[in-house]
Amino acid sequence: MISPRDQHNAECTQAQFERHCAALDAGTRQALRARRRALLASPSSSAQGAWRRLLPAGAMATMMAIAGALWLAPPPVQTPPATYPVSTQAALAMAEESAQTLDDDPDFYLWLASEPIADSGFDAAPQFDKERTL
Amino acid sequence: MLDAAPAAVAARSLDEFFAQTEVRAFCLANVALGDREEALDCVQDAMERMLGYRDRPASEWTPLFWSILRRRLTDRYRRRAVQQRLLGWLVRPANDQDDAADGLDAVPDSAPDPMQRLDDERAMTRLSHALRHLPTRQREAFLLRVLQGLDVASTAQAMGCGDGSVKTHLSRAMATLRTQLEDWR
Repeated sequence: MISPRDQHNAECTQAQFERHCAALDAGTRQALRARRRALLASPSSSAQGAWRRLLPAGAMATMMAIAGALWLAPPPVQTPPATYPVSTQAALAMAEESAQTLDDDPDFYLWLASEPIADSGFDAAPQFDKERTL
Repeated sequence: MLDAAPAAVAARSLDEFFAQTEVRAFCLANVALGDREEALDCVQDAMERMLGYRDRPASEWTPLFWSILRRRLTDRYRRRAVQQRLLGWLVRPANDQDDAADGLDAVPDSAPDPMQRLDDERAMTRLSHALRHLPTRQREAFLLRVLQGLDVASTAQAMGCGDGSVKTHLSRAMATLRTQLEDWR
């Protein structure tokens, strides 16, 4: 609630303000009139003005969005090669080759399995003939 | 009870509305900001913004325009606060109190009662300085309710708050101004 004293002060201030408005100098009135007319002369000035005002903010937002996207983007994933690794390829090739050999010459393996294991002679140390060697 | 603003003939076009309102709007902005050029820019901004609402009924123009002007003033205050905080040592605060201490520059030469005008100018300058130190909402309530003379409902509409808030802000603004202005004691 406003006290009577404040009420009086407010009324005095309001009266002062009214006089202040009435005594506004001609130059300022002229400036206000000129700005108003310039504003109303271009019907699309409001839209243009809004567009102009929003342009820096839009540019900044776009830059921030791009920076954010780059910052948050996952690191580039290396796609696996279409062919198998060399070691796998080699293993497959060897398996195919041994199976092919088995298919090609089964008699050899049957013979090998039927033969008794011969003494390789590696258990004893080799005897050298000193005279022949020298 | 505070008087309402002088009743203007209902404007039929936005041009007419601006012509009726621009002087009061400028004076209010000038008291709020204490800077002529900034006040002119502020009123122009508000008018430009108002053009977007030209299709609204004329009865809505008055609270709408003062609401827009209030926001423009708040923007200017924020910009000033940022400037003073960040660039205080480079940018001189707009229009120190000393610049317009006596208000002589603004007094027209052909004034019929020069002493009365001079007193009013000085009172407005002191009020302007005191208003700049009020909290935003208190300042807005004072400008719209006391200087512009809007009623409580229109002030509340322009400020985007309830009637009770307007009364509270105004009461606090009055109490603060009483401690700051000698004329008010």
